[in-house]
Parts: sequence; structure tokens; C-alpha cells
Amino acid sequence: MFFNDNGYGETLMRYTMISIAMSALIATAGCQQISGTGGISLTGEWLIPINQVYDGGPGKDGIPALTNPRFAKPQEETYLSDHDLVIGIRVGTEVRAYPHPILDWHEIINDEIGSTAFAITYCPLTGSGIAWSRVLNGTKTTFGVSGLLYNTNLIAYDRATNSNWSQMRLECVNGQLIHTRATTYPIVETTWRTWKELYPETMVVSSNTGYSRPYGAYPYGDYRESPRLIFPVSNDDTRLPRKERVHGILVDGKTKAYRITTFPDAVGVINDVFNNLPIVAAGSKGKNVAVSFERTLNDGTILTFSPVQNMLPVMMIDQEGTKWDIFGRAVEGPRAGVELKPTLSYIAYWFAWAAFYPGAEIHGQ
Amino acid sequence: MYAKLIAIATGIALSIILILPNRVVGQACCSAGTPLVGSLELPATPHGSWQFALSYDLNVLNDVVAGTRRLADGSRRRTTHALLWETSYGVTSTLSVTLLATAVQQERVSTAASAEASALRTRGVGDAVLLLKYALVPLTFPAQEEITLGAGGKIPLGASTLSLEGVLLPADMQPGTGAWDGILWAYVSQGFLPQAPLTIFLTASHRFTGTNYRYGSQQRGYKFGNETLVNAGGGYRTDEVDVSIILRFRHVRADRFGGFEIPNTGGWWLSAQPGVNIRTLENLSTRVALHVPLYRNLNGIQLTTTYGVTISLFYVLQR
Repeated sequence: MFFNDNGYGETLMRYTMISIAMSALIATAGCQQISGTGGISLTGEWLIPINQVYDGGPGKDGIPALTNPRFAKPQEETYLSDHDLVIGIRVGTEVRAYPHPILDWHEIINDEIGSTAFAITYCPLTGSGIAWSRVLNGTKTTFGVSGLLYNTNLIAYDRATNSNWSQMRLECVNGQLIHTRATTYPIVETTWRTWKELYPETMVVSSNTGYSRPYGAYPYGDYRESPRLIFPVSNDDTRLPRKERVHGILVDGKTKAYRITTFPDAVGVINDVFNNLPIVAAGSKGKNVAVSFERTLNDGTILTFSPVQNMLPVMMIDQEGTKWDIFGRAVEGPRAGVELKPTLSYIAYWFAWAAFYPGAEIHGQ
Repeated sequence: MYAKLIAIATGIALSIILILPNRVVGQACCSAGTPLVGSLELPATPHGSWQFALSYDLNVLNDVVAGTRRLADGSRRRTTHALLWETSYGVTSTLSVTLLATAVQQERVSTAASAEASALRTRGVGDAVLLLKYALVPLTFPAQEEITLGAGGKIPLGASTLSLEGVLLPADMQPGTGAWDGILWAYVSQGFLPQAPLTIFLTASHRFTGTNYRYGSQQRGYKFGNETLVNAGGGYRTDEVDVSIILRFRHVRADRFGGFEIPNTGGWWLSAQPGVNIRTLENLSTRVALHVPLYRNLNGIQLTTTYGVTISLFYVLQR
């Protein structure tokens, strides 16, 4: 014993213990509380059911978006393997690759080529990659990761107004810019090997991002191959395997999915009409790529395409003899210099397409 | 007098912590939360006696670890404050019952945005544990050995579906887990008086986790990973102060949703807990312990403990 107890000390300590216990009861009884917002803007109208929006865990900017990242030549970077997927963009003569192994850790890359300011957005949980403009109402801004998910898909926020954007809906769903549609840019999503074959002069996002991340390692275990989900989705469509990557097209509120795995190993072309819109989907299972364009030119001509082999980036030739590349540009023939209008489309896991667009048509089914 | 002041100061400090707005307690036992089962520290209670332990536990989780590699990442801070109130009563000479009640405050701060605006705090009553302990070898002198076994369960008193403006917060920001768990527990100790004022001890526990339905009854269940804890330590006693060191091994299986493992959950941790125990009165003592990570091997990438501090008051009310 530290000091002789004359009765006073022990009594004092008993009362101290009792007072602490009472304080605990008072402090905690019936007081489940939340304070602060984590910086997340949630108030106001939502275009999506708020009770199906989940906090993913890391919090706002807990997954840090990149802005104006460094680029390197392909031979200067070793973190990529040939089968890794990249999102490729071409603006004028400049070609850049944004690899999934970087996007898995950052989800958004704010970049600029010339006067074109865009954000590459990628959600690792839905496998959806989309490039959209970062100029909103004439103001150039950047996008960040809100930490929120809807249908397990990225909700980005713009730093100009703090509005929330549902990536796969291509729309601002909450905040000052609610109802604003994203202005997308055409991209090509394919393997690093294929992209280098298409554009050897490409630059690629450097692993020197300013963040310490193991870019060679995939952060979600076997998620890409497994049917498991991490968050609930509003519609679970079992017609295709959940994680099968499909190229989905949106036409006036209707959607159609083209399975990359059903294209031939070589280049394949599908001349289609979806929701009264003539379109062409071109792809290759072997190259792990799919793109699509409208087939109607400005002069009203409706083209019909055939595949072109072993001439990448040329993928198609039309009935007039014009050859078209993977970005829909006429590179040779009577319409050289013309560009096909890209469809509103992107690649995502099937489960995500089905969750966002219930009843989506599947080509060939 | 010195020790008395320490005891009173500790009590006042705990009281202040308790009554400060937005400053205390909550959650239970996910990988980012309160060491609920790990806080079951009282051995078997003598027949007719009461034992009380009131602890404040601070868990600072700023380390981002991928596997065994700590990443330089200052984009967020996570803190868990927990208040744990453990009451134990000796029903017979070999059987005692323990109730551990908790209250928790979880705090998440994104340092990428403005610090004041980016803090999110939740707090509330956490889960509780009810444990029956059976002294297989009751503590006697001069044998100075004790073997006690326990079994019980975790009661999901804490909220597990707190939402912010309708957005369900993640499991590790909830005060409770929303699931009933089964718990097995064991305590072994050996003293060495009069040769040395030394006691060595080992506690081990295993938590069989249940499933919650935080996403609604129409959705598949979420299950935290089963947890195994082993604490091995020793205490050296002087007239006024005990010093102790505990090595803690903790293994947690990955969480599961819809039957599938969730990435970036689970792993194992090895940590050291040096502590000082000051006996202030015949039946009262105060302990301060640090929690220092030594090694961790985590599944995927996780935010995990940088350090922890536990301040406790122990009190025995004898028959």
C-alpha cells in the first residue's frame, strides 16, 4: 500500500470511481452522435437514391487524385507488364497512356494536353474508365475522389463547386451543378502491349507520382477475377459473369453491351442498329479492346464496315474504301481526314452495367 | 502522497475526457477499432468480491501499410477513443462473471482537404462482452499459479448503421459491429515470490464473429473476420510500482460480404505494451500502458495502428 489508509483516502477513491462511472453513463447514455462531415458535401437534392450511396471508408480524398502527373517514355517505366490495361487518349498528335496500375490507387488523373483539360476517371470496383472535361461552365477545375460509392462505383467531386458526380451515370447527381452531364472524350482501353504497338511514341504516367504506392501490386486481391462484390448493388443481373468486361453503349436512355470476349482474337466488326442509331463496334478479344462509333456521316451517308487485319491502329475499311483507325479517324481513302462520331460508351464490368442500366441489351443474346 | 495525487489526477483526467463534448468513446472490435476482447484483463475474481476496471484507450491509426511495408501517406488520420468499464464478480470460489461495457468515439480526418472541414466523428455506446470465468486452478499461496478459462459472447449494443445525411458510414466508423460473437478466453499466470517479485502471465482469446445486416435485411450479410489474441507478459513488483511488458499477437481473418472475402481486411500484428502500474491504495491501482507496433503483415493495404495509450483504474471491493 502506498500510504496508510485512514479511511479518508479509500473513501475519496471510492467516490472518485463512482463519479467517473456516473460521468461515463451521463456522457454516453443515449448519445449516438455524428459530428462533422469529413468534408463530404451531402446536402441538397440527389438524383440517385441516397440510401444506396455508401461511404467507401477512406473518406474524401483518402484516395488521392493526381493532377498534372509526370510522364515517361515506355522504356523508362518498369512497373507495367504487357497484359496490364491502360486507358489511352489522343489529342492532336499527342498520345498518352494512363495505366490501370496507377489508376487503381488514384482513380482520377487530372491532366491537360494543349488547351484540352480533362480528367481520366477510373473506378477499380466497377472496372469503368471514362475521360471527361474539367471545364465546367467555362471554369477549369479538377476532380477528386469523394469517398462515396453508388452501385459500388466512383462518385467524383469537382473542386470548383464541391458537386458530386456519378461516374457511370456521366452526370452530376448532387450539388450546385446537379443535372449537368459530363462532356466525355474518346479513349481506347486496351493492354499496354497493344497500346505500345498502336502508338510507340506514347508517353505513359510515371510511377513517380509523389505518392508512395506499390504500383506493381493490385490493391483488391482477386477482385477482378472473383464474382464477389464489396458493396451492394441495386440490380444483380446474372446473364453474364459479374466481372466480364463489356463495352456498353448508351443511346437515348437505352443501353447495349458488347462482350469483348465474343470478338475474334483478330479484329472483328459489328455493323449494328441500336435504338434506331446505326453504329459500328470494333474489337479484338486477343488485343482486349473494343470501340464504337456512329455509322452515319454528316452528309447522311451510312457506312458499312469490314475488319482490317494486321494494320493497327487501322481497324476498319468501309464500302467506299476508306480505312479508319481505332479512334475513328479516316486515315486513308476517299474520306481521309474525316472523323466518325464516337458513341456515348465505355467499358465496365457487366455487373455494374446491369446495376446502372437494368434491362441492358446484350449483343448476340 | 505522491501516489495519491497520481490517482486523483488520473481520475480527474478520465472524468474530463468523459464529459468533453465530442471527445469520447465508441465502437468495438474491427481491425480499426477498440480492442474489446483484448481489454478483458481481469483474472478470476475471489468469491464474493467485486473487481472494477475503468480504462480509456486511445488508438491512433495513421500508418498505411501494404503487406509489411509502411507507405508514406499523410492523406488521412484515424483515431479511436474508447472507454471500457469492466465489472467482475466472484460467484463462487471458482466461478466469476465479467461484464465489459464500452463507449467509443471514432474520428476520421482527411488531411488532403481543409482540416477543420474534413473531420468526421461518430460516437456512442459500443458493444459489450459478457464472460463466465472458471478458475481451473485458483490462485493460492504459496503456489502462486492460476489457470482460468472463460466463455461468453459479445453483445451488439452499439449502433452499426449510423448514417450521415442518409449515407451509411463504413463499418470501422460505427460504434458497434451489429453482430453477436462467441468468445473463448483463457488466463494463465505464475508468480515467483519469494525468490523474485515477478509474475508471468498469458492470456489468449478467440472471437467467433457473427454476421450483421447493415445493408438491410434484403442484402447479404457482412461478417467481420474471426479474431485471435495472445498476450504474453511479465510484471515486476516493487513496493510502490509495478512495471510490466506484454507482447501481443493478434490475428484477424478477412471480413466477408455475401460469403466472399473483402480485400484489404485482416492480417496479423505483433506489438509490445510496456506499462507502469502504481498502487495507490490497498484496493486501488492505476496503470498507464503504451501500445507500440513491432511488426504487421496485413492483407492488402490498410490503415493501422501507429501507437496506442491505455490509462486504467483498477479497484477491488472485497467481501
